[in-house]
Amino acid sequence: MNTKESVVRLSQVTKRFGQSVAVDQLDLDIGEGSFFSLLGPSGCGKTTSLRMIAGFETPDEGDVFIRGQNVTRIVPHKRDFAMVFQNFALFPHMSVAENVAFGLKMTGVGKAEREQRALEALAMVRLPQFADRYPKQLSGGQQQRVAIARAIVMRPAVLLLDEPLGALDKNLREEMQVELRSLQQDLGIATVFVTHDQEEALTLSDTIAVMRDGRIEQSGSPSDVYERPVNRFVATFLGASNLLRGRILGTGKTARIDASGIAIPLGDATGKDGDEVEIAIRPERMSVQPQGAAGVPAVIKAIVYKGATVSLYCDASGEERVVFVPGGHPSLIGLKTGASVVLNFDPAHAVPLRSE
Amino acid sequence: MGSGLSMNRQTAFWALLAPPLLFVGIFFVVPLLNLFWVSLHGASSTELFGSNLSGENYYRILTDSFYHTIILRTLWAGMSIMLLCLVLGYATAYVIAPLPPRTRLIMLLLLVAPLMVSNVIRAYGWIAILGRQGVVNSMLRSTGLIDGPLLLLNSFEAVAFGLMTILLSYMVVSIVNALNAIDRQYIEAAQSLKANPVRTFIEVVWPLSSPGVASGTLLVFLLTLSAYVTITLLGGPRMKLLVSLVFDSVSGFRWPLAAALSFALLTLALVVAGLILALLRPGRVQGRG
Repeated sequence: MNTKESVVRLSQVTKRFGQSVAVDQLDLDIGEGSFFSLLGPSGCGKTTSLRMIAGFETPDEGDVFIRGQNVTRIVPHKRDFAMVFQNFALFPHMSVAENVAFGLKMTGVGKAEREQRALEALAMVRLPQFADRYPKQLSGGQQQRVAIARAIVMRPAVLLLDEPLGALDKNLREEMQVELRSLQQDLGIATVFVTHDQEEALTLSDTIAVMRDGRIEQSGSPSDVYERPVNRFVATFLGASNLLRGRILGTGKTARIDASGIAIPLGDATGKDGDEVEIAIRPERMSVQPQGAAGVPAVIKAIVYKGATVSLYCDASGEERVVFVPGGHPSLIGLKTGASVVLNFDPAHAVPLRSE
Repeated sequence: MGSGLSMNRQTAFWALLAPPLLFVGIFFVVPLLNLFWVSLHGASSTELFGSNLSGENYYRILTDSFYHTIILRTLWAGMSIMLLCLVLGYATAYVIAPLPPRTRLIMLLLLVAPLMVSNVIRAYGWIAILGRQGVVNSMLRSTGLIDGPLLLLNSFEAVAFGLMTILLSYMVVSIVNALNAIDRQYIEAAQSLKANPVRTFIEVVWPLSSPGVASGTLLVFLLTLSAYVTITLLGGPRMKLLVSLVFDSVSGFRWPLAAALSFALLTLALVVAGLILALLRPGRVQGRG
């Protein structure tokens, strides 16, 4: 299945804290050079999974492999990984250069070489002039970069990122996303990224694994997961979705949506004639048409202007439907709260969901 | 408006600070200056101090080998008790710090329990235990391990023992607080950077606990310098320290010499405190953010 060599593999890993199961028989496979995101709400087990790769937590069941070696019972300092922590965890009593060179010092790299390599790593994050400063003299974004330099200088098999952008403000976060991604691609270093921010996961990842209750609900490329969510949880956690009810028709290849009668292809979903099925449509895939056009009649309840897009909250026979229209789009002209419209969508964009 | 607000803040700042400042000024700084004035005079048989200004007290302290012996002994006693407390206290704190909060609290309460007994009573307690007819000696004699009583009192060991039962708790409490203030992420960061447990301790835990070590060692050293009751009762006439000399001079009505000796004690305290702070540099891990 996996053409690339697996750098990190979790096999049937379970972790319990007292009565609660944090991670439940998890399988993960992270390939060479890939950027892998664990995305989910707090308490879904994503951080625990990351900490088991690092060795800060030991699985109750299952095995952890780094580059094919079973490291399940191996202490953290003997595992081949580097980590960027949520609050950066820069040592306050060491200068920036000493922080970055720390790991090299611990592995016995000579003073001249480690100073050289620390400076190179600092240059990569564009902070060479800050080598002699102390962490508390740096801004949040600079501390973040030092933390990244401290990790990549180790040339680890895998880079673990525990919500590293969470402590930064929005603009800086977006800037760091771009930087982090290009740095990761330049170095070709396998990366596991834990986040609860869906936008961050979509922007950065090669593969996203959406987690809930210690299990992976769906994993795939960002566009796969976003465009073809497999169930209601993924459809609503990763972006917004309109959920429609439908019924499977005849052969089980198509489903008919209750409200509009539109038939949509079922794809991989299966079922027999008459089964109920839930169907998700992204708000930006829906369109607003003037009254009289084909589609579902609805009344506009609220118009929220967001600059690049405009969100229309509509009432379609008691169900709330959301439509995102690009700002300044012609279909917006003359629309007011209370107006009667018709909602429509291309059946190709309708995604039948697996029942949970 | 802005400057008015800062004016108000300034006023509040000084208003809040004034009472303690005034108190310290009147009841500490002024008497201290007075004491220094006294120390610069000769003794007098009728007055508190003689009429002529002179540096003879300081000259004696600096040149008389008797005082040198006592000052060195004081320094040695303070330093060794401090280091013993540091080693034992750090080890204890290291075990207590990671305990669940409730257990930790109980352990700390047990540790500070000796502080609830008065100094004098505690010292007499030790005499009852360590004296010639004390518990230890009678037990050893009844088992036939010794023929005559051991001289356990009136020694450095007795003083150190008596002081450490109290001072250790200051050290442990200081270090437990410092250890608990260390964010677990620092330790994990060190591990992620390939530091083994020993190096993690040396490079990260120890420096990050330095504020607690500094306050603990300062407390222990300064309290040792001034622990008059314990030193006198357990050290006896053979184990005199600087603080005992101050008292002896006062009882001999040599007020100016007692004042000069007090300043010698104060200098000793300040120098060692300065050394501790210079060595541990607790400031480098404080005030983060």
